[in-house]
Amino acid sequence: MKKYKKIVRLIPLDQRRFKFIYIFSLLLIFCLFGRLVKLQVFNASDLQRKARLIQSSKTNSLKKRRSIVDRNNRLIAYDKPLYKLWAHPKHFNFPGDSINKVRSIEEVIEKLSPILDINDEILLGKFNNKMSGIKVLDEIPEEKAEKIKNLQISGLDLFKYSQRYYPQGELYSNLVGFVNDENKGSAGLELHLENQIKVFNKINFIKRGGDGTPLPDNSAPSDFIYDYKTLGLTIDSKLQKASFNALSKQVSKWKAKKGFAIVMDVTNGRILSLVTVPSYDPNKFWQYDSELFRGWYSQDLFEPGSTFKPINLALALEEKVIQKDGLVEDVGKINVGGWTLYNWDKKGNGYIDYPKVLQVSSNVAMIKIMQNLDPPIYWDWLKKLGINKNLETDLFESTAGQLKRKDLFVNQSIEPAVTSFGKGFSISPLKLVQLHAALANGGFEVTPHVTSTFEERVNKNSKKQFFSQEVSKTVLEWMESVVDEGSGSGAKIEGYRIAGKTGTSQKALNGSYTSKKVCSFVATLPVNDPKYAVLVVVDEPSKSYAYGSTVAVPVAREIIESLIVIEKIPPNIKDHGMIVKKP
Amino acid sequence: MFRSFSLLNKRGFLSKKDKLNRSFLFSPLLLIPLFLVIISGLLIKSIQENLITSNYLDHILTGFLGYFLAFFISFIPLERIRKYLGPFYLCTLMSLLLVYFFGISVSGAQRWLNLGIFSFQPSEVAKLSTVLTLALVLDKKIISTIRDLVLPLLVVVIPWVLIFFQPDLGTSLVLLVLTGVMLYWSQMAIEWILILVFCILTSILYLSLPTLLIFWIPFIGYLAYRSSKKKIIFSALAISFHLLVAKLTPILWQYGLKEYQKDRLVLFLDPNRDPLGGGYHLIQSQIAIGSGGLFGTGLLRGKLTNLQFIPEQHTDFIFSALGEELGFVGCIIVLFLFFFLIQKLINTATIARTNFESLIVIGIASTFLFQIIINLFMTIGLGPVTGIPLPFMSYGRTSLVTNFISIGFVLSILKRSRSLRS
Repeated sequence: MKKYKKIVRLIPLDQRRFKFIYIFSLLLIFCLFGRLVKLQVFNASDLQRKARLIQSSKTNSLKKRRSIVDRNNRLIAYDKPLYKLWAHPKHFNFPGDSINKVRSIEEVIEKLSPILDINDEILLGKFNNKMSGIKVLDEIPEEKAEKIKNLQISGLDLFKYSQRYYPQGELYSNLVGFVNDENKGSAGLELHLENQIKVFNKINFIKRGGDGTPLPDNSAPSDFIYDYKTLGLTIDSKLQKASFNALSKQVSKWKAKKGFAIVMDVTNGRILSLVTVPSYDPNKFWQYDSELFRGWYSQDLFEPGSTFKPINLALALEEKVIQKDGLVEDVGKINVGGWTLYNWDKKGNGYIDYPKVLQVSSNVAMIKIMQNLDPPIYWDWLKKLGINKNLETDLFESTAGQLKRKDLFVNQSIEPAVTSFGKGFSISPLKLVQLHAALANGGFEVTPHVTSTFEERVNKNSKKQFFSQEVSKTVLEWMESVVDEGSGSGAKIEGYRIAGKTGTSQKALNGSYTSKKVCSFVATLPVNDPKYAVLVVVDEPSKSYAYGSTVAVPVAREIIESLIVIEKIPPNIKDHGMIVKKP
Repeated sequence: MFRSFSLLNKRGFLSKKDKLNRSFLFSPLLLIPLFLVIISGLLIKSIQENLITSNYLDHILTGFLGYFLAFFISFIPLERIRKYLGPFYLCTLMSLLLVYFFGISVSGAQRWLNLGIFSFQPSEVAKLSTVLTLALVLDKKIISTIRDLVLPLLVVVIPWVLIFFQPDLGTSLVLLVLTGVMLYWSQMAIEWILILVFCILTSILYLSLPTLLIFWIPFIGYLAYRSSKKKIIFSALAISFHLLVAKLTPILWQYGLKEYQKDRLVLFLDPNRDPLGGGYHLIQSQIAIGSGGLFGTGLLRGKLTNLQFIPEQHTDFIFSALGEELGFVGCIIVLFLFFFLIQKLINTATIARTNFESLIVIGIASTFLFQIIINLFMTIGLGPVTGIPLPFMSYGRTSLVTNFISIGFVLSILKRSRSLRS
């Protein structure tokens, strides 16, 4: 212990040195303090926001839109998974190679070209001697992408994305429409029902841990479950196809401008097929004139002409201005308020009964019948039928029909006169089908629709009744005679009771009628238990002898034949021929 | 404050009956580190909450072990273990060498030796060992000639080279700084220290603005000219030394430093240049600290901390967890505790009985201070990422135990210090 007895002389410490160290440390600590104040007091809220931001990430669902299917779950539109292939030659490495080995571009191309079915040189050209971030190919289908994946070459990246695809091509384009490059609905149902078709995620943001694991806070189990619902249509693809073929054949045969055919279930408004010609391929929509994308069957109006006559007769029966078995004199022309109006062939038919009026489609007889109806009551009826109202439907927003003002209609006797043979007002083709459906189903208003979701909503509301059961039955039987022995005889099918009415009307342009025509035919079947309404409209057939009976009826016949097969409608031979009364 | 309970007899040693006096158990020099250990233990628990294994109990238990170890070491008079310091130093060098052959490599750096039940990081011990040995060497005589400098520099350079090439840039910097401070403390001429310290500036200048060296190198020569009696020779030596440093700098930069180390050194100036790579740590750490706000989210409730947004947060970036969970208030308290601890150490250095003891304390104090400053600067985005742990808070058992042993030495010195003599 002696060793430590001596206290070693301590060099007197320089006070300046001590102070220097002290001040220097204080300075550093002051820096620290200042920085902490800046971060935790002044920037705190900003950094807090940033902290939450890096923790949550947007879930980016690959499937953006629901598939659209027909009533048999056949795909009409769906999001097709496709792949983009990116290459990074500086990382090219085959499975089994040592980590540091880099394969040449040629070696990789040799493996890729048989899968992609692309020439080696074309592929090599895309590489362009760049070493990273090369977009080699776009729109690679899933099975090819799978093969590329199985090569397990590092340095090749497959980026999955989805593209809307319409497997049925032009068949549905006028109904379903298409989406544009930004995946937004641009026409048809894709536009009109965008909210139903788009897949909305309940929570777009989920929290993630530092390594990317999704965290359970704030999220329900359902957030991770995929939405597989589809948009179901009431359309039958087979019937749609048959209708489309029949219509497009006839439209091109008559060199018509356009055509429309619809089959509707009259009991509930369900549309079984809806086609328009000309059509377009929604997968290549950019190649077509945008005029084609319009849903003219519900948006454009036309004068229904003779196809409206059965409706008028039903009104006359309702108001009891005619009797079921009455007669009317048709002399071929009639003078109304200074205007002379003719039959289409300018010939008289003498005394005829009402079925005959429809069979020969006599304008003069119709005018005489409807002249018995007070114009104000007539106008109220037309309003009640919803001529000038928007049609409730899930199709393209429908345009309201045009009806003259009530004072005009009442004071000018020409107005009710032309209305009695379907002129002087205009409605959309879809509205015409709806009115005929009411005639067929016992007088009830129906809502034309194509989606099953809409049906659930609509059927809750109780529907207006336009005509009484008896009146509608009577008119239907009169219409049946048109097919049996009148202008609609081309649609006659042995063993089936079909009611129908042709229409040929000249198109009005700027107030005067032109030589352009609209040929139409409406049919209802089977008459003993009405279930289906078929309407065919062909616009501007440009050949002579174009009438409803020659242009529209053959289309309807083909459609009805397919309908009978597809819907398995049994023939009704027993009652056939016993209904129509001879004059 | 210790005057009230004098533990020492006239010779400056504990009398036998005082030996079991436990007052030192509650000395702030021991309580502050223990408190820091417990706080950081809870932070580590929070950081590793979602992991299968957690180190927090390990950390706290090691802390208590160190606490008692320091307490017992405080009974050993440092002068008595003087003769063991040489062998201890050699053992440290041996273990540093062994790391090169048997070391465990973690993320590109070989720093650990596997001793079966636990792994051991020689570079942490090397800091203490260098302080002790340097104090031993500097105590022998006051440095007045260049020849006197050879031995102290040799003591530092050997471990420095071994550590630098592990590679462990942070610890090698700590060695340089503690050497500078200890030389300063040992009354070496201020110009000499400046000549040595300015090596770093010469390197930086060479890499950034080499033209300025035309003025810089003569300035060094002037410093040397001013300080020594052998003016011409000494200034020539100083100038050639600095030229050598400038010459060696690109070589060290090229081969000594790995690519990631270079990136780290400059990236703090603009971390957004590489937000997902080298800048990631810096950005995330600042976000975490800042998001704590004034009072923090509360212990164990830090959103970023719980979810491992900051890699290695339980070691070098533990302060960011503190910032998020305890906020500005917690940070300031911890900062104050560190400041108080360092101040206590520097005080002890001024009242130590011998030069040897004083040098040891100042070496330890400068080691702590430099590590605290560099680590905190790194976590709050004022300095580069160098991989220096925060004393008593970062997880790392070797460093924790070594730090407590250092505190034990300081306590022992304090016990025998002048102010405690009645």
